[in-house]
Amino acid sequence: MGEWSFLGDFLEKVHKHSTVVGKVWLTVLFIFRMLVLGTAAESSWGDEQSDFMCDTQQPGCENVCYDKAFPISHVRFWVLQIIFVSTPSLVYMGHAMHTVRMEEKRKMKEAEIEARENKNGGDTYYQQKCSVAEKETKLSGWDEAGGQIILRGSLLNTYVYSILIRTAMEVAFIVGQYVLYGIFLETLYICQRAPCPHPVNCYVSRPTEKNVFIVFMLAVAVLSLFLSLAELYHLGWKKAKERCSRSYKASPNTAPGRLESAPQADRAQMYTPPPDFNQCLSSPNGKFISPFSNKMASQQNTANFATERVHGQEDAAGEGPFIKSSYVESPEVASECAAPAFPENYFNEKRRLSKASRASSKARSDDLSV
Amino acid sequence: MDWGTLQVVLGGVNKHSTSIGKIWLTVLFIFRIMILVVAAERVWGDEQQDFVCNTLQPGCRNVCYDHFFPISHIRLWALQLIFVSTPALLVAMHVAYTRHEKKRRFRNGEKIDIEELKNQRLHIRGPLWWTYTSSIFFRIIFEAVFMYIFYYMYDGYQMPRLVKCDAWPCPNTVDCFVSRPTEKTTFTIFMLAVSGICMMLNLAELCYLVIKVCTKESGKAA
Repeated sequence: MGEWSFLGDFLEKVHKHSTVVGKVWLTVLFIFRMLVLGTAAESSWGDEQSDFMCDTQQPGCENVCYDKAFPISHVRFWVLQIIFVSTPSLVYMGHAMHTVRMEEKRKMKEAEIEARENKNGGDTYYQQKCSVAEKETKLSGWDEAGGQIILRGSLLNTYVYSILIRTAMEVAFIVGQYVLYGIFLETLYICQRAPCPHPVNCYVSRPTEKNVFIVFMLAVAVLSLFLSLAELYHLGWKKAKERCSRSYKASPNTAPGRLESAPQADRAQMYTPPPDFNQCLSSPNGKFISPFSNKMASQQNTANFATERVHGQEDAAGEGPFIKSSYVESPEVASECAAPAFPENYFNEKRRLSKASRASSKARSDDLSV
Repeated sequence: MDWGTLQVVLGGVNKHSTSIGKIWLTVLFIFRIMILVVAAERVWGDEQQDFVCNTLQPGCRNVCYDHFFPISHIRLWALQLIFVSTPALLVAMHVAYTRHEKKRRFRNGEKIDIEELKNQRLHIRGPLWWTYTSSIFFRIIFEAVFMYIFYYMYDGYQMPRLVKCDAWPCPNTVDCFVSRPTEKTTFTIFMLAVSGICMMLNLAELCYLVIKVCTKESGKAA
């Protein structure tokens, strides 16, 4: 099993950023395929050629008959199958890591701009920060609180394609195995090939044990195939549901450029308020920096912000996950930042108590939101 | 063969590589080293034991095997992987030297964050760019050389089923049969294809680095 550590290490990272079904698939891969192959199947096939006996004394006849009977050994075939079936996940992982890196670069840029602005003074700070934030909003696929990648946009497409390719590979290898060997191994193999002088009886070593493993590995391959199809169905169904609910519940108050966080009750882990306002107010290192000089107002805002994050979707009834708090300062500074974006009731007086005011804002780290 | 040590060394270089470099490293570890260790070594495991010659003459089988397989595919692939990975060590050495210089300046009184120094990712600029590019160039050369050696030594990439041998002490031309020729051909072609892919990745990375520098230069000029 140590030999599989190269692939195992990579797949551990994939495991962290997969959906629930994806994790089950990976577990099946690790335990029922890699482990079984490495420990049991290898030793069962260990003497496959040395104990392949042919009823002949002709030198070379056994070699050529073994080569004809087993063009590629079952074990090697399964090794290739596991590697090819895992490869699409690695491609997805590459894309995810790339997204993370882009996110980190964005944060670094924001930090730089903020540092620059702090030196220059606060006038144009809000404007610049918000314009950068609005541009970078669409790149954002990274949930800071949970440390998970949010599946959306191109990342979701990559994920879906990787599952499709994985399914295709699985089918190809199952069909390939059937074409090469059928399902069961026969004990007796009759061979006619030079230099064998006539048709020769050859006897396969441990056929029953090999058949048990062949059926087992075939069953696991079919199970993996079903899991992949289930994952596709799960992703496709959720996407379709989202689209329907989005078109049904389109709110007139929803600002342009905020499509991703439009009120959708079934987005389980989406807890961002409007992204541009979010970006405007929070700094990359997590400290809440208020453009307003009123300390109390900004403290109130911090509290609201934290609680709003967790259950934003519960407010989908109609108000949207907007932050409302009493600001003593003039709203012009804020509206300057995202004037077209904010609706009129954004800066109203009453502070709305979030239903989540007692809930923990700790994100659930085990599932990806789609 | 313990490839874990190589993984540790190359893992350090990975941090300072381009994206294409990281893909290359992944392909190297999963499609070459892992296949070599998990599959290919087993296929070639009994290559001499099951090399059968149609003769009772003692010593004839040994001599014929040695004549047709001067160096086994497995060992040749292991050498290829080691040579192809070695240029990355140049980059590792350069990075270590840069860090050492920074530490020295820190000791002499300059203000440098020693914690950050350990984890800092160096950008591929200046002398590091030259080191990195020459390492990729050498990688490409080594890949090509080994692919040619394979072709030259074994007359192509297909494993013959039957070889005719008349080396002394075989009394006449003797038929010798290679063990598992089809499986060996499959893996030889697979490893050849992956070498080709790695070479393409290296060429792409080289082009990317050159273009990056050229655009920077033209940007500065403009």
